[in-house]
Amino acid sequence: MGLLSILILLPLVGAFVLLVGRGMSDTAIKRFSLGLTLVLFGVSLALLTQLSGFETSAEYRFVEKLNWLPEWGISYHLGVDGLSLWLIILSTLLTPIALLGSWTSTEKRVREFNIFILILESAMIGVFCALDLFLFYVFWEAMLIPMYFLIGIFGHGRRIYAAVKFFLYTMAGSALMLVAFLVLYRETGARSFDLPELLKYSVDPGLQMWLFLAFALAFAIKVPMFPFHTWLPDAHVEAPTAGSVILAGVMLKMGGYGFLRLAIPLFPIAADQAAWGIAFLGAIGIVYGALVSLVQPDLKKLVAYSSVSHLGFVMLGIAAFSPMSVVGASYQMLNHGISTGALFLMVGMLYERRHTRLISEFGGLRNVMPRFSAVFLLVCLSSIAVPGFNGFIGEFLILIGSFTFSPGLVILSTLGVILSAAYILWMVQRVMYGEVTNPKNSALPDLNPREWATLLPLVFLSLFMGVFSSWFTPSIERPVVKIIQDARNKVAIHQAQISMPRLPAGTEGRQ
Amino acid sequence: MIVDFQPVLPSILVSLFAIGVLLSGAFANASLLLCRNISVTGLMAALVVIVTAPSDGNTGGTIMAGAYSAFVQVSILVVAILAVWLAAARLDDDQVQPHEFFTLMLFAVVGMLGLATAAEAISLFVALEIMSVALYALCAMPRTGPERQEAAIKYFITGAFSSAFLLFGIALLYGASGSTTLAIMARGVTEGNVLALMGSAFFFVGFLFKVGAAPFHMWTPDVYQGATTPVTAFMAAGVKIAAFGALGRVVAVAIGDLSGSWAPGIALVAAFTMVVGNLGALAQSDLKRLLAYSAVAHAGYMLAGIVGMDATGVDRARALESLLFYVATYAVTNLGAFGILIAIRRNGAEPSRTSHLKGLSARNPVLAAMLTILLISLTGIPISAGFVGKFHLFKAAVVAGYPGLAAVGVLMSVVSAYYYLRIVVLMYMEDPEEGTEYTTAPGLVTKVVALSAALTFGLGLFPGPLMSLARAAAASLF
Repeated sequence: MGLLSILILLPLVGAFVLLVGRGMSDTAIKRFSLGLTLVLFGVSLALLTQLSGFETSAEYRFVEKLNWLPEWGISYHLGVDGLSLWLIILSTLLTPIALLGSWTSTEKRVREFNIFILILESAMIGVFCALDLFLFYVFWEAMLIPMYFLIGIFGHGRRIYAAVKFFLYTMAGSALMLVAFLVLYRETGARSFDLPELLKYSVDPGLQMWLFLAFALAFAIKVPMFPFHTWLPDAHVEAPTAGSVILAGVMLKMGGYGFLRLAIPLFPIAADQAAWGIAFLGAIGIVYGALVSLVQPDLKKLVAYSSVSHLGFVMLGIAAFSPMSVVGASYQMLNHGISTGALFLMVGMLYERRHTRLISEFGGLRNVMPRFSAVFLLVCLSSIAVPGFNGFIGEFLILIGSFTFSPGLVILSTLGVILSAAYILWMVQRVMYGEVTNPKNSALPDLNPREWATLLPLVFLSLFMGVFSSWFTPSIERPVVKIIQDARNKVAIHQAQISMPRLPAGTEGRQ
Repeated sequence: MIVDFQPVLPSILVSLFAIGVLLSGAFANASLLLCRNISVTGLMAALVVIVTAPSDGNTGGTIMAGAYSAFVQVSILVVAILAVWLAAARLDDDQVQPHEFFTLMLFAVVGMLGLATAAEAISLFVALEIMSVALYALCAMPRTGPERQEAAIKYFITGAFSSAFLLFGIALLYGASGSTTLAIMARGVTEGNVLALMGSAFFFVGFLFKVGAAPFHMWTPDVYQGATTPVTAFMAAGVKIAAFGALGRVVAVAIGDLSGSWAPGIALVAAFTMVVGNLGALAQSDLKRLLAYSAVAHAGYMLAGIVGMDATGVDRARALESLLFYVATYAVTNLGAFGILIAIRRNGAEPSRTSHLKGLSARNPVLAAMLTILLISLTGIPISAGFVGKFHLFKAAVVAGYPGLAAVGVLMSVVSAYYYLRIVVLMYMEDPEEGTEYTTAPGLVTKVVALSAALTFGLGLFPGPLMSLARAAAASLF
């Protein structure tokens, strides 16, 4: 069994153990799943043993291919390239952190909570490994159910509304993608759902736009791209901390990943035609998300809307489709996972202490929790992309790389950079600085060792990735360059075909 | 002339056991348990005959056995055995003569088995009537309230209508071809033959009534709600397999060449059925009515498989294969879902409203988890047999050139997620009402449900074996 299968199956085995291990106490369950996810993180680091390989070629590594339904052209086909490599590691990193972060806040139905998290982890890793469309779809949809339960059972106030909304939105988006898979299966004549196989065919340009739109809808909802973002604030605000961390940290990345892995390579001509629209919506998302964050009274909602803004950058970078902008977008996906994951964790810590997330309830926390506020400030700086932090590299690459694509949109997006500083710093000011006005805040405990353990890796990474970005980018660049070249080639062939004058019959050869 | 009885041996066996149950009740006053055991033995015997001594022959060209009929018959028998267990568990506290009940059930099975083998229109019609008449009577049992009578009468009247349509269709097809044997009928059924087209249309209408496709579905909610739950479960699962089994054969053998003319119409019916079924289910607060509308919706998905047969060559067999897979797995899943209603006793009674399942996961986590798996499959979300089945049905429709139908299908699946998941919400995310007590029905009900849930999940993960059986079955008709 290959490494990727182990990564996918191990959490499921763990979930099964929890399911049948009726005698385990709540603490034992928590320890078991934390240990298991840490082991998984360790196993996923084994992918890095081939880092130099990822840096030199764009081919898939750790490939596994088993027949599943051969008559239908469906196989269990897994593989990783530089694009998915880091996203897999991000998933395995954030899962134990999310578990540790909600160590004390999950008191009821601990067993179910951990089972859902483990199933979710398996499906997330699966999405990033799958090289067969059917398999991809299976993992893609399989993620919905555990997340639905996490929000619906363990969430806050309007959790049921949020859970159902999340589920229906995401499923509606992916449903049409399924039909597009089927049409693709029919049209290419490959009679296969294997991604590398399908990429050899070029789809009829007239049909491409329909199929691309079906894919794009699924991924745009997941990103979420303006105007498909309305499920996100609800889901985030009502989700438990672990749910928010995984949702923001990993699941939102699947939208961008889907564009790069499936939608653009399969339908390059349509993607080329739609690029400006996507970039435009991305830029709108940047500014819109930032403006809405500015007026949020609720900390978690603020972070949620800031995600809309950050992921707008990702979409802008992908749509601009230059090597630099796409590498920036991929890097930004990782950065967002780390900084927003950390922000959600810290908001969760505040909520645990005060059972409120309203900014107006806080103030002057720096006097009470100096360590907490120091870390919080670092995380916030990472989120607003201050040079030296990881966010800066991502946003900078995106903006520079997109400039030739559309200077106007880049200038508009730069407004988002400024606004993000405004809403984050204003929030920090209201929450952390000044005098303690609310007596309830006067005796809050500072970070405990468990909380340190969840935050330190993230803070370290956001600095490390800000300084040593060259450690990550070469491996990302390889597949990105290949995707861009392949797509450009297909577009060029198509344009050569349509610009070629139709010669009247019998005139061939007479130039 | 030596008649080969082997093709009808399963039906003969079940008939004999049916008579045996009747006599044992009449003369020996057999108990419920004894009647159940005799019935199960009969069904098992038929199952063993089909599996161990498969017949490839035919009885005078009217009854044709083979891989196709074997697949359909095995599915029917498995469903019937499970339904008998469910019925035995439910009937404990009802006033019913057990031998009458099980005799009718077995005779319904005889009709269903006949539908699977019918290679000739008249035998097909006779088999359909054997099944239907037994079911009309079953719907009225036990005679505890007016709603059972209402269900029976409604089912009977609409059933009579559908039979008339079907017979008329057969007559017209006979007029077009000069034969009632399906294989010979095919020669008369050619493009442009108006008689054949009208005959096919009437034939379809008859079957659309039986499977509860819109706009011929009006009886479904009332009958499903009115009949006692094991009967509903048996009806919902068995009739679907048998009717689609017969329809699949007719389309494959007799009227397939005319598919260019009827398939667009059936595609419209399929889309309409999905919409009506799913939107209807949205508004239901009664569990059985909800499952009834969901059955209507699923009839629509299955019709997509029939539409998919508007293709050429191997794709036509592939569409039939998808249909067979879907029908078989749907039947098992649906039976499990009704089984849950029988397994759970809320304050001693069967839960009838969706709100009655509130907080079930806290009181009975195992049953709640099993129902969740079944509902996930009905919605068509991986990993479940329902997802694999739907995927292949819609693929057949797309390959045949109906991507619009597939799009309606998947969007309606999203709608269905809302009402199926509402049950999950109630079970997992709401607290149980004060003063309600959940107990589990005695007997094997829980095991039947567990088996159905395990099959639903397992076939979602490893659909290969069943799929290849379905493939062999479908291929045997071409």
